[in-house]
Amino acid sequence: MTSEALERTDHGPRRPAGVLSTLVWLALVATPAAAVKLRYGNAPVDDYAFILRPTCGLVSLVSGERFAQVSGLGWVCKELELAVVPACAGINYLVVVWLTFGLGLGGKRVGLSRRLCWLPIAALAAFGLTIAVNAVRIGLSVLLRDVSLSIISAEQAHRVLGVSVYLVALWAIYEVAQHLLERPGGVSAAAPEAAVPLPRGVR
Amino acid sequence: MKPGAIWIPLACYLGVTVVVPLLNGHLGRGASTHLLTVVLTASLLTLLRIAFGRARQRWRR
Repeated sequence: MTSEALERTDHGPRRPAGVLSTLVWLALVATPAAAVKLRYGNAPVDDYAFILRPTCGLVSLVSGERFAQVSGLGWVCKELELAVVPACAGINYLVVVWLTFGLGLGGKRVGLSRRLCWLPIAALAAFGLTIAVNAVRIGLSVLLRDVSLSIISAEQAHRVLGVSVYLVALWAIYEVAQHLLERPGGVSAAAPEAAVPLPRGVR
Repeated sequence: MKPGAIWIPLACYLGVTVVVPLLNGHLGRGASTHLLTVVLTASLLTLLRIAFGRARQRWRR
């Protein structure tokens, strides 16, 4: 099946090929997300090294604190008495950014070939942004560790900080990416010649 | 203002952090704090976007 056959049209209801294209795209984006969730559902700590090592490296680079890998526990900073454990690895956030880029931005691209080209870009961007945002979250947790609030516990404060950083960063990333992709001269999501075929007789 | 810029990331976030654990039968500790933070952050960001959009319109006039 060619990519042209899978393209959708803006004239009238979606063709079966357009619906099929959407379903194929959903499967292509959702399958790796589900695979990551399943793989890291109960994975041993050392399996998170691919994401915790660069994250802690980035935190060390910015804060100057040293993190060392402790097998079976995670990455530990003895000076701060802080452990970055698999729950802090940001695997869920990696999946969220991947889905947001894949379904949100990739879904707007017309043609299967353009969408397929978008997949590795989305994967790389999701990985890099997860590390950066998670490093910011951990860095802020380190900075604010001595701040105590009377209305919520330290654990709740940690959770509130994490969710806020993740969500604000997710929206900011999505907004910037959307702006970059849709600006004139950028990699347009919907090329007019592909999305709106001219009627017969019109040249 | 494009509504998708708010709802698509929010849907993906809630899908992964709330719907999937619910389907697995456990939301985990601190689910209420998590959800409350999501609602508050989403509301705050929406209000900020509306305010920013209005300010930009006024500036253009």
